Amino acid sequence: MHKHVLNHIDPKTIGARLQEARRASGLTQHAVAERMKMARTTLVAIEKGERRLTPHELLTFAELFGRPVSEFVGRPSVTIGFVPQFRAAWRQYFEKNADLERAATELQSLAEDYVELERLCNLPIVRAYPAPYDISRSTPEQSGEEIAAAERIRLGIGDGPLSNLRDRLENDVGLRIFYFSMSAKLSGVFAYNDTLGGCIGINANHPRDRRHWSLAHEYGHFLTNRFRAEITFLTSTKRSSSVERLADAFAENFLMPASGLNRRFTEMHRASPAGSITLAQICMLADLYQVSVQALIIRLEKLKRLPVGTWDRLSAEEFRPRRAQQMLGINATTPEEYLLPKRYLNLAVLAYEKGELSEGQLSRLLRTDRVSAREYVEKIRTSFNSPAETGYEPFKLDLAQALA
Amino acid sequence: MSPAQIIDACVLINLLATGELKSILDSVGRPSLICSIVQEESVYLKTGDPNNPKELINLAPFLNDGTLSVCEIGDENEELLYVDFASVLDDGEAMTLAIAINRGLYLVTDERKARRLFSEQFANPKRLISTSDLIHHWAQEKKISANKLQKTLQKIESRASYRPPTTDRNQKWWIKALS
Repeated sequence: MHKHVLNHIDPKTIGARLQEARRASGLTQHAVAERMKMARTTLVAIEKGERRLTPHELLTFAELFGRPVSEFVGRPSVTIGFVPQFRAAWRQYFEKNADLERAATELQSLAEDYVELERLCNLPIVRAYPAPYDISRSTPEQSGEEIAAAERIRLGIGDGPLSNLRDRLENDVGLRIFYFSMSAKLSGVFAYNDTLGGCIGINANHPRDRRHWSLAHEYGHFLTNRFRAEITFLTSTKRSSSVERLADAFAENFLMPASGLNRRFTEMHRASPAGSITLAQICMLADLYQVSVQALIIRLEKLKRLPVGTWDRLSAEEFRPRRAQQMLGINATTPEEYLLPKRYLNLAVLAYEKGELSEGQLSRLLRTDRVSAREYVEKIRTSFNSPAETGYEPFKLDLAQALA
Repeated sequence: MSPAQIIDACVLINLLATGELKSILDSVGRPSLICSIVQEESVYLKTGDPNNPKELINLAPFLNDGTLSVCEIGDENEELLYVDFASVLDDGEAMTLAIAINRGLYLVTDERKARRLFSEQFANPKRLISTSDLIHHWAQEKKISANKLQKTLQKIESRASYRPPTTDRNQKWWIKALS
């Protein structure tokens, strides 16, 4: 720990954080300067990093913005934040909708925490990012299909259903994937910079199949245009551009590759005594692929395995997929078990066990209360210690040790 | 009069879990403080009821009867210490530590980082108190029966998920009292 820490932190870092916090709280420079009893030019200089803060000023700013002091002095320095990227790309939406700012800020905050945990444990994430795909020579739909096929080959995942998509993208690609609560009309957010890497936030309140689709969709953004921060709305907007069409085409082909789906469909046909495919079988198949019944039927229509208009007909007949799934014992509404990446959770416990994190810091990083954080640590300890032991021992397992 | 003690959230949770907070703090014989951020921190304890697994604890009764008092950051030196500690601890821990050091108070915490900073850098390690120190003192001072002590420790484990680490000087006593 530095004595007089404010003299050791780059004033530009604190200035940028203060500016972000001020904007998030909806206060103008004029209003803040007045509350702080300082000239607006002084505040501008502080936000630009041209003037150092006194401890008293920092405490007053933190109180004014309702933010912890540790958020300004206890976090790694990230030169480029996601929030300005989102604001630049989505200016007109940001001005009208505070939910977007909240989602962008949370993604930034979680990604920074993840990087800080990696720094504390000396275990940086392994990135296996492909070069951005060239999308200039095909339609968005063709590009989405081609990239999905190429990615399946690159990741060595064949043409079957992807029930463990999140694990794949976290472990085999090195993306940071978080589930958190967003406004119902938002499905997901994506952003990238060199320090934090590719980061995806998925709306934790959405049902399983929607979350799965959103994850593949955001991955499509990462593969094609990673330098642009993206926000995906639940329903398409006027801005349903070629970028969005491409990401949707990618998701459709990545989650339901033609070859595998056709093969399964043919096998189902062959196995059926009446030679027909029932709605129940389609519901089961959608569950297997973890996509909505609607998405699967539309995909099968495109593959000419179901008559065009099947979904429209079922909709007109007031078919309710959720009801059908309930009748078949399919639970597609299960919440995401891990809102934070498992690796993030394990790094947090490891850093705590090493004495690098306090209990208060641990509970903030786990986004939970102290007793729940203790329970989580205990759960991890139990999985490492034999049940016969009384009391606990700190981890003896050094995950950061060099083996090669 | 003995200096006051300032209690961090990690210990406060354990003491609240016992249901004996007032009795335990009374047995120490010095005023007990918490900082304003710890007061604002939501304290949840486990209930054991699967339908309502967590209970939010209200500190108001303990503040109203004087068992606990709330303190704020005071002078410039405390502000400086608070900001420095906030670079390595959370806000409640940092404020508690800054006040303890600047005012020469007893620091009541189980938090390893805070204890290390307190004893290594600035202050008298004899003024460092843990959950187990308080419970051990209470059991002796108030002549608590083995049965009641066992139940109290069980409550700390079941409601606050806390058991002292092997490095705690009272850990063996704690395990024995539990069995």
